Amino acid sequence: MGRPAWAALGLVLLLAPAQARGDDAARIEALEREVEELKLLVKDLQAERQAPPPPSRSPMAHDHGSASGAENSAGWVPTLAIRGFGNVQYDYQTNPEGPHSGSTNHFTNGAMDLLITSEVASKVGFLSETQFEFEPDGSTSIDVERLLLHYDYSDAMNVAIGRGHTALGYWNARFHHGVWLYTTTDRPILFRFEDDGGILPVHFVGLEAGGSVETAPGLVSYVLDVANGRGEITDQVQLIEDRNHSKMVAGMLRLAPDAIPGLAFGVNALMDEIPGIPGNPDRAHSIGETIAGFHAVYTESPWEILLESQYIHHEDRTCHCNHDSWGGYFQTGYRLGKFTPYYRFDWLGIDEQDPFYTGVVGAEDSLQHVFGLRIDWWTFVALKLEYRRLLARSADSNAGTAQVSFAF
Amino acid sequence: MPSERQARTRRPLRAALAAAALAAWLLPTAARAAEIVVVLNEKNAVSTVSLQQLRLIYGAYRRSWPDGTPIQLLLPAAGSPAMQVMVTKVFRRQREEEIAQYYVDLVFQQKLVKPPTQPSIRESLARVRSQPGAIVIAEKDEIDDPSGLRLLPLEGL
Repeated sequence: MGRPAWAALGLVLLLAPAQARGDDAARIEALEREVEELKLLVKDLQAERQAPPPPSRSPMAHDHGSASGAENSAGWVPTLAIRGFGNVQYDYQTNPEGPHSGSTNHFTNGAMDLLITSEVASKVGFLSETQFEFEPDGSTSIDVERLLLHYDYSDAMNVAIGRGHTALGYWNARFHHGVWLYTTTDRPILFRFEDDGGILPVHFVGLEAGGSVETAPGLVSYVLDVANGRGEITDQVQLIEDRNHSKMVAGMLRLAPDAIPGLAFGVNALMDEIPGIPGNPDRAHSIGETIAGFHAVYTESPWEILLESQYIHHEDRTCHCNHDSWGGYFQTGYRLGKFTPYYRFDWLGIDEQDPFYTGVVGAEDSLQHVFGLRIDWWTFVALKLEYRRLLARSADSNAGTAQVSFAF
Repeated sequence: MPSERQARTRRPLRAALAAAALAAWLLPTAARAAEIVVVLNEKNAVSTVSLQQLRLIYGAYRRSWPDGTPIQLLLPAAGSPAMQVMVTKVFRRQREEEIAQYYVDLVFQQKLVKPPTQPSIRESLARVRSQPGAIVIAEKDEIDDPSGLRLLPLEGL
């Protein structure tokens, strides 16, 4: 090794520790910077955790329920939610009843249904359903269809007071006035509303108790109603008085077995005393009414299969005779993504001698086939295309409906 | 020594075996990534939640915990793996929007005052920490800080 080489080696040995010291200092500086950054990050995270959460961004985002006892604090106000349902449709019908016999076609501004719910206190809620109905003469009427204050004591016991839907089978308890909720464009003939030729007391004014209990075979649900009962005619829901002392009593029991999810079957019964009509010799005395029914449903997606029947027994205390009527429906649908093709068969058998149903339009022996397609175009907008073939005692008819229904 | 014809027929077999081996390696990884847990407040005494119980809870058939505390439903964030489990396993529906429709239906039936909230995972966890009756399901990996929470495996999934 020559002299220059030795000199170079010596220089390297002399400088190397200084270079290592310089590297260490840089690393320490970088680590210190990282520690400072981490300190800031932890501080930010702590601040975020202590701050109130930002508002939810989902279209379904609403607070649900209050903390128990919070309603007693000074800052408590009841929560209020307003929702609604509406529908517009085009109808074509052949051989309709009325002055325009032959065929008709028209657009129909369907009813607008306003649903208001509020959490008044922990476990206490309020619900009102008000319907704006558009009449053939161009006028608009307002019907308060449901008005209930309910106390949810437990899953097994809930109590409600006000006007609601009677415990009369599956459809009447499950569906109310919002057409968007139905797979079809309209209710079954049997469950038409009282002011639409319905033969059943679908609304009540009184007390309702209900709940559900988990048992070994499955979920058992019950509903009990004690209410004013029927008025003198089918379309008379006794809102502020009762024309007789007796009260309508109705009850429903349902089992949803765990073994077959989606399946449920139940029975219901109702007893009432329909007041007589002074001055009407055919209705001089009251009519004892007994209604009994059953239902079996399978609603596990994509299927909807509904079968239901109600039997109506009238004990006429004027003629001392009995009248029996019955009706039912079978409905099935199968959901394929946004599309649900469906079919329903309605039947109604009315005792024509029953004075309570005299003059009620639509209260006659009839069979109806309903074929349709529901398209859930958007989450809360549905288009329904439907064909109906009605075979009734008075006249047969064919009808088609294209309906747009929505929730808002 | 295999003929060219034999070699050609074996190629798809080898490819299938390789694909199966790859799937066997990937699937457990995917399952681990989507491990779903039930998230409750730490004060909630419930120790197990089965899929059937979750159906009753989210179906609003069961609205209070055994000690009487009202259940506060929270839905997983839209599009999340936990929401997918909610749609397909809990509600057994086809699409997420059917859940929204289901809850509007329940409000109409007077079973709920309002549909449940669908917040972000961070907000959900904050609410479960602050509300003793709150419940949500979430991916286990999403929960960085389990303090104040009780995480339960979803039995029967």
